[in-house]
Amino acid sequence: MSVTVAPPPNSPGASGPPAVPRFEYNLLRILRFVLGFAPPEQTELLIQGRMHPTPPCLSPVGVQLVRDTLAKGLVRRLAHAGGWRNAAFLRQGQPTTGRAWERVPLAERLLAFSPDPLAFLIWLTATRPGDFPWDREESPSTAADDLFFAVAYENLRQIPDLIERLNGKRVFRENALCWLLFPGDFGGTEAPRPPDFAPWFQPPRSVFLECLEPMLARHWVQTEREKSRIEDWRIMRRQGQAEAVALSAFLAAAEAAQRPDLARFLLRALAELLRVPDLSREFWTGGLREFRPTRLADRLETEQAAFAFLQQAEVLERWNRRSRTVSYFDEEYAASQLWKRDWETLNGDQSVTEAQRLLATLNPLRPT
Amino acid sequence: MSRAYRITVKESEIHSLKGQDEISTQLELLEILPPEAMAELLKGELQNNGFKEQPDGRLVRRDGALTVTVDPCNGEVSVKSELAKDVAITVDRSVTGFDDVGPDETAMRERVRDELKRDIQNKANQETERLQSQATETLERHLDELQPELSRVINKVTRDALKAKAAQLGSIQEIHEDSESGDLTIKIEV
Repeated sequence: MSVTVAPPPNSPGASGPPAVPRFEYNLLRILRFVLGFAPPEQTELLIQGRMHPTPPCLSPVGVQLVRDTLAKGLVRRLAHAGGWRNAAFLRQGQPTTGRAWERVPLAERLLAFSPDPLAFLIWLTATRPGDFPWDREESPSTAADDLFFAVAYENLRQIPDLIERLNGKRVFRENALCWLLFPGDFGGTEAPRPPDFAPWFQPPRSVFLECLEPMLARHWVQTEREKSRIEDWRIMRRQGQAEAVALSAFLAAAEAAQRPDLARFLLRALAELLRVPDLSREFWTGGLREFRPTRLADRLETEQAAFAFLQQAEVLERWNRRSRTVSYFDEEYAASQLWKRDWETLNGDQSVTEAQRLLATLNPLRPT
Repeated sequence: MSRAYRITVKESEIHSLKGQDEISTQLELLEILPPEAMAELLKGELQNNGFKEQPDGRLVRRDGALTVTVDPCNGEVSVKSELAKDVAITVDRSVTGFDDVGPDETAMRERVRDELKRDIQNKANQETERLQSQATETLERHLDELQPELSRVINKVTRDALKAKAAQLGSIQEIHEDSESGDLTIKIEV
């Protein structure tokens, strides 16, 4: 005897899922991928494959779906990356504890998009990247745009050969979060210049950084661990130099804004990375074999560049020394207490000692 | 009827080539005495080791291709290896031409001369690279010798600074130095 199942109450049609034209269907699939909700294998062909004619305009249903996916997708991304945690961050110089939506008033975490994300998605759907140029206009981007493009870059770079086609675009090159995540992709010149990090210490961008803290820490640990796989001395030098300028600019902006808590991801990453005792410099530079410079000076410069991340420990240690001198009656007392607590919890002293030991191995005249 | 002819062109140039390598680092001096006093002690000890003071206050020692410079004020050390050489590079080439086909003799001579110039430049580049490698090798070898020497200088300066500091704190009763372990014991009466 067979059992017949009743049809679902909301079958596709008037009351079912909204129907969109093929172009918008592709665009929505690409959007889900760039937000990190679909694997690259499912979308790579859509992006790298044949071109689709761009429709004169998108349907209202399509626009509504893009808007909905963008809004929910980015919020979910932030919550998932670390916004859900019960964490302490500074607000007006005072530590405030709670989840992101408990700590920060709604007005400071609204996402407002410019037309750029949609224009980018249409370009990505209609053309093969590299065939037709597209870039952001000179107009300043919104905070939500910056977040969207950083998340998009993080996912799009998984597709082979796409990095070179994207990292020259202003929309990524001038995005401070892209620099904080992938400085090596943007440091193609001898004197790389990162964008201004100061806006990232004002809401809503500062709220993004708060939410992304665990992700940023994991990302930097991963980047450092993967350095031993770099074989080309020139690539290591370029990446290290870009990391050095990006992290220095970020820390200088954090210091100017009196938001050391937003640099906590570096402390966390240092603690995680240097948890393994007695690491040697080969952990970073052991893979280098191609295009070895003849000059010792060039080799040392490359090895120093490879240690760009560890060199930031010096700045964090300086902050810690200063926080110890803040007295109960000073304005920054509460902030300094939060920093000292983080420093202790994340074994700051141990990390700095280990970083200094490793950096000393770069000294060609070090005592043996 | 065409007639073959043979042109031999010879080019010779003298190139002044240079190979250079340099590293800079910092001496780790403990702040036992005020910086000026530590700088004085370091200066004295370096002079004992053959360094000469320059008008700008830095101490320099030259040894063939190597120059070691120490700034006693901030402890910055730079070691430079520089090799220079004048090299005469001669190249020649012969080509065959025909008086009724192909380029005329002047054009052919010009073409060969251009090729020879490129050859000379390539040879000069190779020689520069070789000189560069030599300079780097010399520097690396010298660093192995310089490192223990500078360590000894730092140790001596630290010991002298400790003695001076002890003398400031009270009357020195006894000084015991173990040259093997590097231990220094100073007994003072305050």
